[in-house]
Amino acid sequence: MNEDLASWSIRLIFASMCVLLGLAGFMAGRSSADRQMTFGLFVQGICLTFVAGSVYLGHSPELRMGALVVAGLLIIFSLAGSQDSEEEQSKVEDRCS
Amino acid sequence: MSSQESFLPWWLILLLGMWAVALAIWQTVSIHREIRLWSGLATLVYLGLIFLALTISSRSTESQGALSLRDRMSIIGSLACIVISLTAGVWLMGRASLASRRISYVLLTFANAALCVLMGELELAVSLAIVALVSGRLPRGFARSRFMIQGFRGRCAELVRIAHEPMRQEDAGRFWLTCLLNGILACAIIGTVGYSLRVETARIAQSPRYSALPARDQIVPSTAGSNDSARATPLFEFASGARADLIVLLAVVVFLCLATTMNDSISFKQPPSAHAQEFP
Repeated sequence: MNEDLASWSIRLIFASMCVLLGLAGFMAGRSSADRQMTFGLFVQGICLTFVAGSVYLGHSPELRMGALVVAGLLIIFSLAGSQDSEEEQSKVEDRCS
Repeated sequence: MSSQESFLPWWLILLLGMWAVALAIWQTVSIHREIRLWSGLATLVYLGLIFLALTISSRSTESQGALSLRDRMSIIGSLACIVISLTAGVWLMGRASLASRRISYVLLTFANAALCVLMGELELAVSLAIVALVSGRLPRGFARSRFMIQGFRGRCAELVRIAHEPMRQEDAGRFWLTCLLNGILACAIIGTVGYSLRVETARIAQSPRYSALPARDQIVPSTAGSNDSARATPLFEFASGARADLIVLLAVVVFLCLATTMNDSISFKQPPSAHAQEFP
């Protein structure tokens, strides 16, 4: 097997699967915590797509920078989203008790 | 890796298909409790068998005979990362409890970070690890949740707890037909995709039919200018390049599982009925 092509296509396909899973989960999500996690999966897929493109172009610094920017946005989103999920968790627990 | 050797013999295709069906049944909420239990056990057994097959295949590969133990462990580790990530992605969409989904998301993010390490992207790996740590931070309500109050057995039950709805009589017969059809479809699609990828990536020159996959003569000029040290990190190349067909197939398998569970997701979008119950 042509290993250059195979390894590049695998990275791309794996990243695409993360995007697909994230999108499908976002559509089927029932709560904001669900949507937060599946949206995180979606963004991680975009990150890995940047990485696959970077490797395909011989470790392109521009695409690597793009991946880092997306990862930074994901960190901010996670920090902001954890507050919401905290409140939602409290509501669910109150309802259960 | 030599092009004449297939890493996807017919029995491995069958194994992957069975794993897909077992995972799909495990994710289905409207079936009997014992069926779900046995399908969950079957999922674990099939996954163990797939890893066993990978290990045997790795030992028997002629081109990897000279690999050190560290390289072999890296190959198996990166494969494990991909499998964990995709499985956790499917689990995330299931009907499991919030604690279980949160743990699977953290696991998935750590697996992707480990993959980035293997690809040589350390900064991105650190970023994803930070995301995992932030997402895994226990919220205030979690400490007094049912998950934390229960004992060890209760916590394990909580992790696999899935909302249950009684199966309607007319769905009972259709369920087995769907499982059978999905199993056949999974095997057929896995075999087709694996064969297509193997044929397509064996090309040297650009295809006149404008394939989506680039040819070697398209990749080599773009990578020739890069430094040799970047090309000399072969861990992920070994892991993904040598097992290309299998990893694509795992992705397809997960997508099939996803497709089979979408019906449940859609049915759960309706307002919950009064007789809906949960069981451990």
